[in-house]
Amino acid sequence: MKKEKRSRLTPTGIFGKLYVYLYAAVVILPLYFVVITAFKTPQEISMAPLALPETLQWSNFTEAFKQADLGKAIWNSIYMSVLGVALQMFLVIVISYCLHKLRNFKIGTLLYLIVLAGLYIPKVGYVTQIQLYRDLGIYNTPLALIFSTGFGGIPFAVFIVAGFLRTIPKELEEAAELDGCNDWQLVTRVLIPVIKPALVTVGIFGFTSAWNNATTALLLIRDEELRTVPMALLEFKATYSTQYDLLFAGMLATGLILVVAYIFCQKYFTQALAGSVKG
Amino acid sequence: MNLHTMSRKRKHWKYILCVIPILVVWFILSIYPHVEVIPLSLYKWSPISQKRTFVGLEYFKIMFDVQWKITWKQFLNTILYVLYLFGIQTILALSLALVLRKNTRHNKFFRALFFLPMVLSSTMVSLTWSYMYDPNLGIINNLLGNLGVDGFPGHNFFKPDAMALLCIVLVHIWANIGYPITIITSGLQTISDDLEEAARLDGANQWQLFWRVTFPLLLPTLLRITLLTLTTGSMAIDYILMMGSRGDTMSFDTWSVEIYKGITNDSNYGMVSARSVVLFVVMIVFSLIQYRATKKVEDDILG
Repeated sequence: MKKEKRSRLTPTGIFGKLYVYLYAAVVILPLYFVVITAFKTPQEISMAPLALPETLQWSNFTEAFKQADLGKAIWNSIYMSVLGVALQMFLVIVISYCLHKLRNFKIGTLLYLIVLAGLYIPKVGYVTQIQLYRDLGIYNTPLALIFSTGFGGIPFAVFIVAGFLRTIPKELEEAAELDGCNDWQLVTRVLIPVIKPALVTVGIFGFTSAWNNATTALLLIRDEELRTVPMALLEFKATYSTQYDLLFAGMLATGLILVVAYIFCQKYFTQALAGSVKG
Repeated sequence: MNLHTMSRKRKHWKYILCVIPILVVWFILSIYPHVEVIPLSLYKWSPISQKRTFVGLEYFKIMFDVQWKITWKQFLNTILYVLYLFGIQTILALSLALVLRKNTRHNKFFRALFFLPMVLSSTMVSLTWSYMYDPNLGIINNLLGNLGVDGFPGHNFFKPDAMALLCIVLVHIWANIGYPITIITSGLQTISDDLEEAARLDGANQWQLFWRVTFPLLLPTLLRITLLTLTTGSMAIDYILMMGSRGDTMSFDTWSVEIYKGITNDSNYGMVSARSVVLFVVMIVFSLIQYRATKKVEDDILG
């Protein structure tokens, strides 16, 4: 009892706590101001930036949706991210399974190393990427983003999934093969349920990056019709003045989904975004 | 060779035929363009016309001769960005991870809170902080102004350029610190308590305990994430692009941002490709440093 009290009163203890609370304020304050500003009028933003809104301006939300066509953008973001991630998951499972089966052959090791080398190739060829997508006729189409999500994250995802497959006991596969399972059944009925943690990691990572991505979307999409959420939000930022009331209302409406998902599935998000899986 | 291995040998062709086409498409779509900038930097070309004229090393000459001032400025900005990120993020993440080291509910809550911005898009983060930093409307300016600090509100955080970069890097760190904190925390948890307990019984104080026991054991983890800032820092586009003005070239643009903006500003893609090649080479060197350094430290400690 006495010992515990003493350790709590050491300078590192108090300063440590203060330090953490201070940094917590740095994390929370901007988010707090985003929330209150979303409900303010432009006059309040310029006259009383620190104060709470007099009355809640719910009309900011409808105005934000109208001005940046956020409904359309949300739909674009959802279907492009979901299809992109679905494509990526499919490819990653096929690649990882084939490489797993080939693990005792030289060619398997070689192919695995080629995929991993993809992690180290600097992704600097923006101009050439645009040119390639133009030549393929998918520039400025939904397929551009679906393909860049689907194929872009493959090295990292294969690294996670193939690595996980290696930890599965050989007996499990052998038993399934003796039971007469073909490859399809082995993957869908036996392996996928076992490697689920790795797939969840890959899926969350892929979806969060696809949903949040702005730089690739700005490169590959020109049409207003095809704008994703991050692109639409940039619409509120003009060179000399930004409509912060509408911008933050739009951000609340579109960003809340992932924040709520994070609060409820925090463990999975941490694993996915910090790139580590524990079985 | 028995029957079993023979049937396995024959069966493995199936997997090769299945995986190779996928990998070919993957290579063409997501690897080849980044390598293709190397040959294309020797040509004059634009997205509009199909014609490509060979110009040799002309663009590299321009970059290091006529445009040397701009080139040098962008180099400096990139180095500054990387150094800020390297230094500040490492110290901040390490100190927070150490303070929150024990797995109590209190500490887990704060770790989760510090991780939260990682879920937000770079667009949201950048626009939020544009508001925080705004000279007149901005929260920081108004908070300091209300406290009676001289020159606030009305202070421009984005002058001079070195200051603008610092402010932007702080936002980058704010958004991404969850990653290093998580990695350092799991690194700390692999260090056995017995070792530290033994050192404490030998009379080591907190300071000695950290520098003599914890730090050396944490070094491989620490090196892995700090060296990663070399590559993430020099590739960072989002925050500079969205907190500066879009389209126009800003005096605090880094090398990678200049390449990115070149796509809309420049009609000469040969020049943009040449810039990409320089960044490509620098990144490969950084990756090699990262690989060799991490491997050396791990070998020293484990072997």
